[in-house]
Order: sequence, then structure tokens, then C-alpha cells
Amino acid sequence: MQVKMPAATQRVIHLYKRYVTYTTATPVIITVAIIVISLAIAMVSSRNLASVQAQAIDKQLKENQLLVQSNFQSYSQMVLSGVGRLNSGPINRQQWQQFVDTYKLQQNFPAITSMSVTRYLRPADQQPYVQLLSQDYNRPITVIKGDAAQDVNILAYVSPENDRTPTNVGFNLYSDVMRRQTMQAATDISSIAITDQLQLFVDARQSSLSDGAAFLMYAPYYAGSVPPETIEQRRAAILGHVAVAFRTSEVFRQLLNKIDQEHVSAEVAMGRSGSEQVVYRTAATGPSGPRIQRQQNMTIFGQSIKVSYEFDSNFLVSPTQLHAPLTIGVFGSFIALLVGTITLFFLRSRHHRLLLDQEREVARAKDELLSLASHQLRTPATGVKQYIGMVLQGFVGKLTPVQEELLDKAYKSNERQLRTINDILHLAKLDLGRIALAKSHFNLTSLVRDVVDEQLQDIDAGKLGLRLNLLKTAPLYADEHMLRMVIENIISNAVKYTEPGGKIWVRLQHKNGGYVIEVKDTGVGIAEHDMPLLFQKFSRLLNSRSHVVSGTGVGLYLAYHLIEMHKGTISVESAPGKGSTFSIFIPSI
Amino acid sequence: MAQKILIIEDEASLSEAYAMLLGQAKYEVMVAHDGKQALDTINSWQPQLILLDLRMPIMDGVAFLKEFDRPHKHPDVKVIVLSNYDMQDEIDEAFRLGADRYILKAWASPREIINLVKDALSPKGR
Repeated sequence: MQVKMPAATQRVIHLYKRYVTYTTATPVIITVAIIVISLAIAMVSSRNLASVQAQAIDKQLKENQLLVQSNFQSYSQMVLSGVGRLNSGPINRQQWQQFVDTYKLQQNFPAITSMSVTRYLRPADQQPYVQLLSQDYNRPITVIKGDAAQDVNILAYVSPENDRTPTNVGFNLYSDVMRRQTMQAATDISSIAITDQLQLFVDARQSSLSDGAAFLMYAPYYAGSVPPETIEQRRAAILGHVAVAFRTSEVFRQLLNKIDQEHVSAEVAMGRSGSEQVVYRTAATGPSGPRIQRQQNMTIFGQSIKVSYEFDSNFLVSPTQLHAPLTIGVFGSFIALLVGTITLFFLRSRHHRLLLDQEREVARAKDELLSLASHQLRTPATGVKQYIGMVLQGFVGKLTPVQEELLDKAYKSNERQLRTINDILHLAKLDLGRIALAKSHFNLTSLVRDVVDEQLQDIDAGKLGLRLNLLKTAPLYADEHMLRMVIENIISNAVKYTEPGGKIWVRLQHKNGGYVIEVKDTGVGIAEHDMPLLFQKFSRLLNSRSHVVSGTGVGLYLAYHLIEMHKGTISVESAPGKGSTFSIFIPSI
Repeated sequence: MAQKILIIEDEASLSEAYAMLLGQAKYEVMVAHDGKQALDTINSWQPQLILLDLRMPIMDGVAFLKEFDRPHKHPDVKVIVLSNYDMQDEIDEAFRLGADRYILKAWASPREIINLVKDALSPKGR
């Protein structure tokens, strides 16, 4: 006969151990992996977004630079065309107005306030030219802020004219250092020169203009139409300049109008390199938050222009795109936790199931072992029981009284052996928690009567008086087999521990929603100090009948626990020499 | 004609005892030492009752009952399980497979065995 238990149990334990490790590790690994992946995607997407944005910004800056350069290019074309006009022949006040009118300044170049012609005059030339000019203007013109002994450069024609033009004509522009230096520079290089920021004369008396910053663009014109080669020749041949006046803020407003006003702030500084001053500023109206700062430097006709940009994070990017990395990160982490949790629960329940399987397997193995042990112990005794039983039943003919007596003792001894095996089996099952009640409906009265009947032979042998007081019927739902063991034990104890001639009462009554079985005897009784030992395992008490009574000391222990399993109670009243009364209460539900 | 009883029991001392006991009680008895032998015997020899042990080598009691298939193939044959192996699972399984009675061998005296068999084979018995 084989016991299959170890292999199966080992397999279960092996699986169990494997899953215990996986139960905690796997969900954590999965969660971390998904978080790492989603963070990586978020980072890539964020980086991608940043590079898209950076490219867009670069493009924007390049466009702006081209725009500034092309605008200044067209301004300079205009100035040079003025020079061209002057080179093509003498010009008067009216002709200049007509020439400038063709540009429709107000409409096409709102940043330009005026386009003028100046006239460079040596002391000797001053008077004749002023007379000429007076004729042209039809009123006396004088050199204002000039010095008759020095070279001057006076304002000759202004277009468009305004109510202040008459008083400005004749003004010696060389009296202003900035203007003179710039004009002289233009003369020397035979090209365009731009002043630093200054205030226009036309604005000087108009203090209401808050952003009065302006600059002038000068281009020289020389005698003989073709610009001379050397600085000295140029200085000798200079006739004057074409001057265009710009309102700085207007220039840059137009330029920066083209960029995204909502998401870009820009600040323009202009001036000689190293001493640029802020001339224009535009503030973004978009959301606050992190900004990307960029700076752009240009040099145009000797003037340094520095534009500082601040792009907010939404520049050229939709809020959805902008939040994509965060969304991916958060959503990824959420999914990670979700998947991790589901995995954890899945593995937990699997683990739990394996544990249950293992418990079941172990329990079954225990049962098998117990059953096997009892089987092996019972089988030889069963053989003895059969053969002696057959002889006692007259199988080999009639026995002599002595033969019968001896064989009867052998038979009973063997019976005790079988009962002991049974008791120990039940004890082991009880200790292993492997006794489950198999409840059924039965009549407790019949059960008690059966048990008493089985013991009648012993009762007669002990010459004991028996009195039964049973209910007519006592329906009960309980484990009949287990209760039979208990009642058998209590009654057989009463029989065993009562001296010949004594009395035994067995009563079965209703009580408190259940039944009470009372077994009373006139036996040896139990000493008070022995009471605590009564229901303990393997305890056999020493008394006057110990030597004639056999037992394993297991019966009452089993009885106590079996009754407890039925939610009942078992109690005893006794004193040495006064007999004992055992009461078993079993609730009927 | 004597009623036929097949004893399926691997423990020789017990199968002999049961065979002697039932033989004297005027039953025709055959012994098989495991389920396989029993199935072979039943092919040629139709018993009215089977005394069946559970724990046996080669083919145990439950396996025998599965093959024997009393409910479908042998509804008229009585089956009494007589075993010292009191594992509740197996006993339940035996009943499910068509056993009529179960008794722990250790509690069955020769007289009780005779009574059990008589009872099972009587026309009203089951």
C-alpha cells in the first residue's frame, strides 16, 4: 500500500513558493516598467515639442530679421531716389513736394514723418542761396542758428509741409551735434547714415507726444552727380543731404505687428553699438508661465538694433500639444498602477487558491495517513475477531464451558484493542481538526435505548440495577455516530466504575431548547482534586476500580470535544463514594 | 440453488474467514483478491451479492465499482462495502457508485456479517 501524499504535497508547496515570490515582484515590475515607458514617451514628446517650438522660433526670428532688413532697405531706396532726383537737375520747393507726394508717405510709410532736402553752404554761398530760397518760399528766409563765418547745412525743403515748416526752413542742422556728425559721416562714406535716437524739431514743442523718439536717415548728394572717390573730394563736392525722419516706435510697431502679439513680447533697443537704448516694447497678452528668451542683433547703416524676444510656452503650440507630455506621463502612471493592481489582485487570488489547494491537499494527506494507520492496525485484530467469533458461534462444534470462557476473554480483549484503535483514531482526527460533523435527523431516544441495550450484558454481569427514564421520542438533528460514541462512553463508564450491586439511572429530558441526558450511578465517584483532570487527554484517575477497569483515558476527552462541537455542554457532579452524575446538554438546533 | 456471493478482499486471513463463515451458511462463495480478479470472475460467474473491500492492490474498491457500474450493468447485484479504511471521501464515493451498505470490518462480528448478508439477499432487503 502506497502513500501518494508526499509527491503531490511537494508539488503544491513548490508552486506555492514560486507564486509567493511572483505575487509581490511581478506587479511591481509591471508597474515600474509601464511608468518608465510612459515617462520615456512623455520625455521624448516633450523634447520633440521643445524642438518643434525652437525651430518655429528660429524661423520667426529669421523672418523678423529679413523683415527689418528689407524695410530699412526700402527706406534707403527711398532716400537714394531722393538723391537721384536731386542729381537729375535743379529743384524747387514745389517740385520736391511733388516728388515726395508720389510716395504717399502717410499711406505707405506711416513711420516716416517727413522727407527733406538740406543744403550745405560755405560762408560765401550762404547769402546767395538764402536769397534764392526766399524767392522760392516767397518770404524772407534766414539762416537760423548759423554762423556767417562757418559752413552750415540748412533745411531747404520739407515734405509734407506743416504749419511749422516755414520757421524751420533755413535752420542750420549743423548746430545740432548729432545731426552734424551723422551728416558728415554720410558725406564721408558717400552712403546712408542714421542718427542715434533724438527728438525731431517738429516734435520739440509738442510735449504731448509721449514717444517722441525718432531717428533720421541721411544720404549725401554731391556736385557733378557722381559721388567722388576720396573723402577730401567728397567733402569738397558736398551739396547737401536728403533726410528722412522716422518715428522709431512706428517703425518697429509695423515690423512687430507681423508676429504673434498674444504669445510674444519684444523689446527693441537701438543706437550705436554698446549704447543702445530701448525704443520700442510690446507685451504679450497670453498666459503667464515659463518663457523662452531669444535675442537678435542686427547692424543697419551703422546702427545696432537689438531685439529681445520672450516667447511664452503656448507660442505656435496648441494647449493639447503643450500638455501632451504631462498627460502621457499622468495617464501612463495611472494605467501602470491600474495594471499593477489588477495583476496583484489576480496573483493574490491565484496565490490564495493555491494556498487553499495546498491546505486541502495537506488535510487529505493527513486523513489518508490516519485512515491508513487505523486500517493497518485494525486488520489483524479483525482477523482475530472473525476466527474467535466463529468458534464462539459454534462453528467447530459445541465448546466446553471453560473453552467458551477463555475464548470469550480473548474475544473481549480483542474488542478492547479495536476500540482503543478507534479512540486513538478519533483523538488524532480531533487534534488535527479533521472531525467534521455529519448531521442527520434521528431519534435520540432510540439512540440512547440502543446504547443501553448493547451494554445490558455488562450491566447484568455487574449485577447492576438499571432505571431508564426516557422521552417517548426525541427528534434531533446532529451527528448520530459521534453522539453514539459519547453516550456509549458515559454509560460504559458508569457501568465500569460502579461496584457490583450498584444502581444506574439514565434519563433523557427536554431542557432549554434542547435535550439533557443524565447518567447517574452509585459508583466510586471522583475526588475533587481529580475533577480538573477528568476531561483531559490520556488521564485515568486512580480509584478503587482502576485495577479492574481498562481504558485509554481518551473517552471523556473525546466526549467533551464532540459535545462542544455540537454547541452543547457536558458536566459532572460527584464526590468520592457518593457516585457520579454526568449531564450532557445538546441544543436541538 | 445456493445464492452466490463474491468476496473481494486482499487480506487472505479475512477472505478465508468470510468464505468459511458464508460457506457454512450455505452460500456459494468465490474469492477475488483485487478488483481486476473480481471483474474477471464476474464475467463467468454471476454473484447475487458482493462483499467489497476498499483498499486493495492492482484495483481498489472504488475503481472496481467504477468498472463494475452497478447502476447500469448490474442493478440486481447487492454490494456491501466492508472495509477497515474509513476515509469518508472514499465511503461517500462508494455510495455514489452504487454500494448498498458500508460497515467497518472491525465492528462486524461473524454473526453480524451473516445477518447483513441475509438481510441484503432477502426479497425485501436492500
